[in-house]
Amino acid sequence: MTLRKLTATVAAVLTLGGAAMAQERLNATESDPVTMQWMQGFPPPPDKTIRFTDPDYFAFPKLRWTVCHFRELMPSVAVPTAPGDVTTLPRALDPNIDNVTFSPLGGDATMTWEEAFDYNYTEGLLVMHKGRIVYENYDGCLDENTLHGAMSVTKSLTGLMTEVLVAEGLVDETALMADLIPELADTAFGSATVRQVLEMTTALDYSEDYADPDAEVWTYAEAGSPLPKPEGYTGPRGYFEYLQTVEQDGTHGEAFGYKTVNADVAGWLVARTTGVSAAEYLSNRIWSRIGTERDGFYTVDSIGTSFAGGGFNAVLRDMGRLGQLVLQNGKWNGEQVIPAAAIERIRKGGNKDAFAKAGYDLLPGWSYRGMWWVSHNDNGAFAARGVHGQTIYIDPTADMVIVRFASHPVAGNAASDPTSLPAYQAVADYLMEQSANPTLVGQPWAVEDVDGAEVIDNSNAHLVFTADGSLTGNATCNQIIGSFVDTGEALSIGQTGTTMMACPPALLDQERKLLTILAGVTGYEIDETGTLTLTTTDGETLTARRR
Amino acid sequence: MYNPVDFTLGNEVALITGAGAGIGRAIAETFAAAGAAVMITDLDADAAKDVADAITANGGRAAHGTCNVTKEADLKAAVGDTVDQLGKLTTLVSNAGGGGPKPFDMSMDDFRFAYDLNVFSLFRLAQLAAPEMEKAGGGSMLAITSMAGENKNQRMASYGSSKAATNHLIRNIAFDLGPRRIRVNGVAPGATRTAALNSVLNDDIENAMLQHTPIHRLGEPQDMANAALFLCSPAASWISGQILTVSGGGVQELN
Repeated sequence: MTLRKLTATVAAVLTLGGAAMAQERLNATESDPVTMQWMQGFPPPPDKTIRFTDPDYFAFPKLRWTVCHFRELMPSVAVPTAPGDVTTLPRALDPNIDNVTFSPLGGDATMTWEEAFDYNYTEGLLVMHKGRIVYENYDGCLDENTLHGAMSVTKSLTGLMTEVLVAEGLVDETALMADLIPELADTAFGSATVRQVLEMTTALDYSEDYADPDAEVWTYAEAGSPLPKPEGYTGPRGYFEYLQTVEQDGTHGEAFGYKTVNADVAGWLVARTTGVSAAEYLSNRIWSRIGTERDGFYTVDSIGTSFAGGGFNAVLRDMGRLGQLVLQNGKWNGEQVIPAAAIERIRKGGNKDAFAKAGYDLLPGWSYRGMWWVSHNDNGAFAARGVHGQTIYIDPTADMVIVRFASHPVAGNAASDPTSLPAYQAVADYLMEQSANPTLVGQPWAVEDVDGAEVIDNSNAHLVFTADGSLTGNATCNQIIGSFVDTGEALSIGQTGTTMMACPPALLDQERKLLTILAGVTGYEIDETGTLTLTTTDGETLTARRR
Repeated sequence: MYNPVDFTLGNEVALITGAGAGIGRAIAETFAAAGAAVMITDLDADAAKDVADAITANGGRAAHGTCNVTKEADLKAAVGDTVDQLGKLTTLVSNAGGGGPKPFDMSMDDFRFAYDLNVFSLFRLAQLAAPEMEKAGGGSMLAITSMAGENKNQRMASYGSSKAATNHLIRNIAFDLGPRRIRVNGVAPGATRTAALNSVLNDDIENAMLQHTPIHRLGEPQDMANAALFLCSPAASWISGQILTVSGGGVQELN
């Protein structure tokens, strides 16, 4: 992503104004890019055409199309996956996550996870628990096979790569940038340490205040744009040139200042240290080794430099794999892909006092380390975050990774944090409670015994009890479609039907027994080992465990 | 005059229920390969997605959704989403069905459920789809029914009688819908090889299953899909109200 996008977004936000916009703007359904008819037809009608040169191409509502189409609008470089080496993520979908409720920050009302999806203009939302997908949903321009801009989540990838180099002793975190990248010697970065860059405590004469037309962010945007420069332009062309112009203002190490240029300096450091571009290093070191489904892509400047501060695009599940790698402290399928020390450094967090000076009211007690946002909450959650609601949220205590791609009309995450951060916590609480004290309703129960007999190997027999009273799953060969009533005192199964696939005798026998017992179930018990036992009045049983 | 194009589905948009696996999936993939845009619905959302993905990956046009055919809201959504996402609806394959074999002393809920699943869902889908097909200039409906609609056996009171009702529903609404340029037919499959079956099949089991099948092999999902394709294609434009049994000549169904 080039900074032109940020420019456009902020311009639009300023034009519309905060409060008025909140009342009048289109909701998620109304602003769906298909409903809006952006870019439909060959050619699309003029008033439905979106161009990179449009001042509002990354402003709401056009932004809701653009987040999935950066590669059509600007040049990019691939972060190749390893073809033929895709790891299928196991699934244990829990239909009840949609009903998890939470209280938005600063309000008394409650909201459900399902309601928050649209409220936050979400395109893609993935929840992984214990390495399995328990929730996955897409809307708007996004589906499983479509790439979405990760915005500033990109910074956290850059930070992670840099922390890997630090952990491996290839980069000294106390070294001055001037000694590592001599071209930066005469800039603000020259006298900053690697650690200060990674924690964004550099003191830069550089403003990312989009309200100020003289802010340096505009010059940076112009430098990074791959479009031809206006006649007579003598400024920097590309990220490398721009970074050499940033001057110091104050003392490094005192206050957190969220400035994208730090991430691009870190990206430069990765390339200079490894001898390959940040995109290539990401592929070699991580992306090709965690079973990703698709190539990732960075948008690039006019000489092909990847935008390490905000240009990454990927499919949702691949971001889930990346989050899972971080959650697992760098291990993937038993292999230590990146050093655990790199992630431990991030999880430890940064300087809370320096962070507090930046005034993020919704993130009290948080810090920033290795270009990740660290909550310091009881669960030790930390996150990668990008404008318009992008996130990878990692909760090690709950063994949970949440990835969200969104296009909230307001760029700053202060707009969506009130209805996302408490929702993440609520789902973490729900998943932990389900692990500790599983309830009948929830994730699939894999049937283990049918009236004392172990199920046939590789049997797909499983039951899913949903809060709306429906019972689904598989009886061995055939899908179950049924209902249940749990009064707390007794469990009764309403009608249960199955599909009618041909089934060989052994499996058919098991299926019949399972269905006969199921029809007579009058009670259940979940013991301390997490085993569910369904019992009939005749004493027949079905036992099952969570997958 | 013979025209090979009459055996394809170019310009058609098909809604297929229960298309996440087995026969429904084979029909969906075959219809897509024959030129139709297909709406894949299934009770299992993931399975529907996977089929739609596979079709899209092969250059076909597909959308997907979750549909419990015993729920009015889901049926409405399935028809509505097909028109919204794929532009129109010309072909309906009511494939989702079941109810399972049940003992005679089953609950009345179980008995009614077989009718919800096999009979009422087809009738309601036909009611919802007919106006859309009329708008599109006509269409074709196909129900996957069962040899159990003709056969008699233990434990088949609910399923078998509901499939008999399905068959006669097809024959009757063919009269209602013919004047509206909509054809209605059924396919009654014999024992068909599915993934679950295949994983445990050996020669002994297969022979036992084929005792009454003169064409001595199991049916493949593709056999059903080919029959479905014919009945939904322009080649069958003067065929309506018929049940085509696809069973290798066999008359005894598996259960």
